[in-house]
Formats: sequence, structure tokens, C-alpha cells
Amino acid sequence: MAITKATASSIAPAAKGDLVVGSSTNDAAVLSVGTNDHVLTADSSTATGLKWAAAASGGGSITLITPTSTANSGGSVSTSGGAVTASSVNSVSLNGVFSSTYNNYFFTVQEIIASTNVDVYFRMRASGTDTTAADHNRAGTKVTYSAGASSVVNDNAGTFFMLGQYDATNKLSSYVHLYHPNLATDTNYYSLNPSRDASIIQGGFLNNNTQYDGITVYPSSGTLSCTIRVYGLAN
Amino acid sequence: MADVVEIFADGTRIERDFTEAEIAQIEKDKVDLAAKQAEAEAKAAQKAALLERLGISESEARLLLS
Repeated sequence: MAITKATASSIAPAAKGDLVVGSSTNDAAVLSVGTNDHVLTADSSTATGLKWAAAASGGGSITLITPTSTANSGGSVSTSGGAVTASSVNSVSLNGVFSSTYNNYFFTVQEIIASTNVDVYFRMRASGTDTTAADHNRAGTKVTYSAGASSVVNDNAGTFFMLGQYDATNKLSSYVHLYHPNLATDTNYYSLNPSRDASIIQGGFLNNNTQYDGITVYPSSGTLSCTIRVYGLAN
Repeated sequence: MADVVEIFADGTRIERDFTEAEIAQIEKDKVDLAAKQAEAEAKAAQKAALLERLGISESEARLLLS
């Protein structure tokens, strides 16, 4: 690689993590630092012959996915290493977590604290907008801890999916498995929710072909604190 | 204070008010929640009235159904 005098002064890296690499004209160029957790990959179609890209998954792997952006109403949200931590929010949205890379995903909503004993819901999201159509179909079984009584929980053509009921002290968590949210077919889900007064196992589907790329988690009233992680399952 | 804060992976931060659609949905969610709570309360009242008419407690009713 030849570094000319003219380019020598223009190749100074401008930001932490920038790289100086050879370009297609055998000159030096700056390759800006990539997205967190991406790796350097050869690509002959780019000017530098390199690009930053998500690491290829190994067989049967589970990959923690960092959202392209978050949105929150009230409170605050921070993202670290793919974990999105919400504090006293009215709602928290994760954008850009579902893509064509994976068919199936799961997400965890960990250490849920609600300001009052409220239900916590989630909605699928596409291009920054929640789906609110009455096409959420859900059914499951709720078994209370105190008396062991079981009952059916269900919504036919609801406008959201429910996780469970939470409170300010127990810091309970939920697991949600999503089948093909980013394919042009019905999104299916099941979830396991050890909630405040009962254990709830439920599943259902969204009766539309929208290709979703995100989720919103929110309480039925008041505020919510929790940590959300979305994982892609290798195809 | 903005209604919504959006934070992007590159650190860009956008603060904005709710859109009209978001405001409408929030209002609709409140109405739906109130209706759901009213339905649950009505169901609980019906259950209590039925137990009283039968002269049994809830745990006795559960025993009968188990």
C-alpha cells in the first residue's frame, strides 16, 4: 500500500476505533469504527475491501441482539451490551431487533417492578409504530399460588398480548418465545410468566402478515422498571 | 419535558411529543382498561351473589368442582 503525501494528512482516524486501511486505489483510507459487537469482514465490493458486520452465528447458537434504537415514554432507558434497562417508564420500545437474519426469537423481561399491582403487556412493532389492531389472539392457563385454582386466560381479537401481573417488590420475570416475527406470515408466540399472584402459561398469534422488527413493553397503568434482552435463534 | 425519547445505536437522541395516533391509542387503551376492570368487577359480584344464594363459601365451591 502506498501512502502519498497528499493523503497522509487526511487519513487521521476521526474517532475511537477507526482503522486506516488500503483502498481500491492502493491508497490509504479510514474505515470508521463499526457497530458494537460487529466484526471486521472482507468484502471486495466495498472501497476498502472490508466492512463491519454481525458475527456469523455458529450452529445452533443463540445471539443477543442490540436494538438499532429504543424509545421510551416517561422515565429513562439505557442500553448496554444488548440489554435494555428501563427505569420507571410508561412504555419502552426496542426497534430493529427482528430481521431476516433469524426466523425465531425469544425475549426476556427480567426483574419487573411495577408501580402498582398492574398487568404488563407487550405489542409487536414495525418501523417504529406499535400494532394496535384487534388481531391479537391469546389463550392460556393461570394457576394461582394461594389456592392452586386454575382458570383460563384468553383474548379473542385483543389489541395486545399480556405477560402477567407484577408489583413493586417481587422483581419477577417473563419469557416470551416468538415464531417468525419478521416473516410475512402470522407471528406466533408463547410465554411463561411467573407473575405476582399466579403462574401463567399462554400462547397465541397475530392474525396478520406484517413483518415486525420490534416490541413495546408497557404496564396497564403506572410505570414499569425492567431489563429486556432479545435473542435470535440460528436457523 | 418530551413525551417520547428515542435513542439510536450511534448515540443520537431525539425528544418528541406524542403523535396524534399515539395520543389516540393511549386514550383508547385507557377506555379499554376501564371496561376490562368493570367487567372483572361485575363478574366478581355475580360470583359472590351466586355463592351467597347457594349458601356456600368459595373454598367449598372449589371443593365441589375439584
